[in-house]
Amino acid sequence: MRILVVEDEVRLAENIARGLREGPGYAVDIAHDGKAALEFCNAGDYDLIVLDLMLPGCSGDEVVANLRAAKVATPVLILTAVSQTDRTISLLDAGADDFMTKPFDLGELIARCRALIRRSKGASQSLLRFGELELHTGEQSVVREGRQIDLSPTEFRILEYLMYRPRIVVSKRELLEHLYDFTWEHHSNVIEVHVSNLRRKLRGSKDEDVVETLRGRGYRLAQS
Amino acid sequence: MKSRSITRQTVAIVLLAQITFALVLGVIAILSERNTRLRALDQQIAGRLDSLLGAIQDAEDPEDNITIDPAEVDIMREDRYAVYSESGKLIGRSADHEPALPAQGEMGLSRHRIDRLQYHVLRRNALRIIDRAENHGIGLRRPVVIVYASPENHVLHEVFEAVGRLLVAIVLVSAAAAFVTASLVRKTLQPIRDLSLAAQSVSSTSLQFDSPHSAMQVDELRPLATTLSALIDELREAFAKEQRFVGDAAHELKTAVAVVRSAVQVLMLRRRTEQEYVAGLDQLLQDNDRVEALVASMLDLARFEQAPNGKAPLLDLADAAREACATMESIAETHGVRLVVEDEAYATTHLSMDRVQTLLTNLLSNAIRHSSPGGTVTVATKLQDGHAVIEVIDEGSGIPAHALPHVFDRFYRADPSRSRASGGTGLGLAICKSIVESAGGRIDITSTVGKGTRVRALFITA
Repeated sequence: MRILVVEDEVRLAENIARGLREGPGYAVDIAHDGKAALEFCNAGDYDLIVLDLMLPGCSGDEVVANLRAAKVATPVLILTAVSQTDRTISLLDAGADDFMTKPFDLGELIARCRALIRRSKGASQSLLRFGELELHTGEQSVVREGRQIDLSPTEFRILEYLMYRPRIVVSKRELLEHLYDFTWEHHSNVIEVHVSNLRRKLRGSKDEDVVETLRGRGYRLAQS
Repeated sequence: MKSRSITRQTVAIVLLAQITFALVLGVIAILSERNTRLRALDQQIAGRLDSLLGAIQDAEDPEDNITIDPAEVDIMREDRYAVYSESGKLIGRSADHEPALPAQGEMGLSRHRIDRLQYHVLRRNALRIIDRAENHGIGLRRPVVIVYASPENHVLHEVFEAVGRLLVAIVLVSAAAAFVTASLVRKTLQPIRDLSLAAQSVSSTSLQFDSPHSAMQVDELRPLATTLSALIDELREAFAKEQRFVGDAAHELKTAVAVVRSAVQVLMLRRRTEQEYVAGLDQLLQDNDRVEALVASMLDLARFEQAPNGKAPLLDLADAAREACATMESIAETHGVRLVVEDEAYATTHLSMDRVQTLLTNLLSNAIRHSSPGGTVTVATKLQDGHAVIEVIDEGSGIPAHALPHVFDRFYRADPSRSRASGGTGLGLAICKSIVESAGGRIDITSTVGKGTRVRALFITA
């Protein structure tokens, strides 16, 4: 998952980014003002935007309005200092999906981010299921045929991304975009290595591959 | 306090004026009518006296033994008369129970009170000429004194009868005029009611005042309506500004607290090495410093926005400049910036050292922060147009023109992320402004991008 954190307080942005990277293992980009946020959104496809309301240049409201006007459906979690009901209502009506009041609990922020992403992918539970395969987004655990499978963070994120889109082909480029933020060097062969490891670990009793490779197009979960 | 109504008062004044006018008119009418009637009465008395004389003339008796037959004399009911002979003998009188009118007294017209009635009395010498055949046609001359009196009360009665109708007319016209006046006054005063109604709708929650059109058309009310409107606009702006400040302050404080909290939670996210913990705690301490700086700045702002208690002692601005430079010397050195004091003139003002130090260290810290190593920051004191002036001039990066008008706003940052990372709270210049303005002075800023910035504070010279 790739997340954009828009917060003008540098330290707070860093802490949120670190929490999201180290916790659920999301790729996180940081923007310090509204204009930069809109540019980031034009350049990349995000799974979630964490947005401070009081931003220099272009306020959080305007960012939301601009995004929704551009038909971007990415869920938006608003961070606000003062919680006023009428303000909250107008924000939710303008297209925001959730909001939190500062100072917030980082754990709660991470949980809400997870929930928003899950819902935006059409899943109602934190437990994703595909055939014999189960993935728990909260505990970050994977079970195949009743057996716990130990995955590296990147492998887990690749599988999570694919499980949100069962039977849909996901290109290497898309995976790269959603797993790594701008601070990483992008190498498509990194993905190949991780996918190959993932495939090996997921191999079950019948010895068939869960992750199917479509040459030149990408990957998808294969129904056994 | 007893409340008054301008409408009622105005109506009362107009009514009172009308009644007074009507009364005066009535009195004048009565007096003039009475005068006319009294003069007429006097003439009537003379006429009746003549006719009485005629009746006496008819008596043939040359001696004084004549009697006047009251039936022959045509007199009014309450009139009285008496006729005396030369010798003073009463030869005739009206038939009444009072003593006869006396012969002695003022000749001509006079007034007397008889039996509670005011009488007009005419006393006249007359000549009774008795035609006698034996005297060859030469009449006998017998002088007499005739006194004739007539009471006034009939006259007054007639006067009131005549004027009565006039009085009724006056009362009717007055009543109609009062009614018309009252409604006209009410109509005239409607703009005042409109204005007060509009003013009543203003409250602390809705600081909105629209001058009623009717009030704006009245010369006497227009200044009041405009002043009120301007005042409420000003209030609304001040209120909005305060609310913005409270919102901004909440945002800044909560964000600063959120930084600390999230930093702790990031650190606790998983087990870390000792080095990671130490680095994390170090960062936490810095984050906490920012919270402290923010709280201190906000308290400073609240404190300096109020005028100082009592008169501050006389202060030499050059002394203050030197002290501030001494305080900032080490920070300037770390940035490789040179601090220079130029005291062109002996400029003094009434200002507390504490305030002027806060002002100068704030300005110097800004100047140093925006200077490049090797640069110079100058603090100059001078006298200018009767003001004690202190200037802080740097050769730093300068402020873009679009940001200049806002730099004294609270929480304004020309470059938010950068200056916040470098420790600014966004309140420094707002604090400077409140210090200078609470001392009755003025602060301004000029800047050229790439050349530097000059902040000038003007004080009342002492």
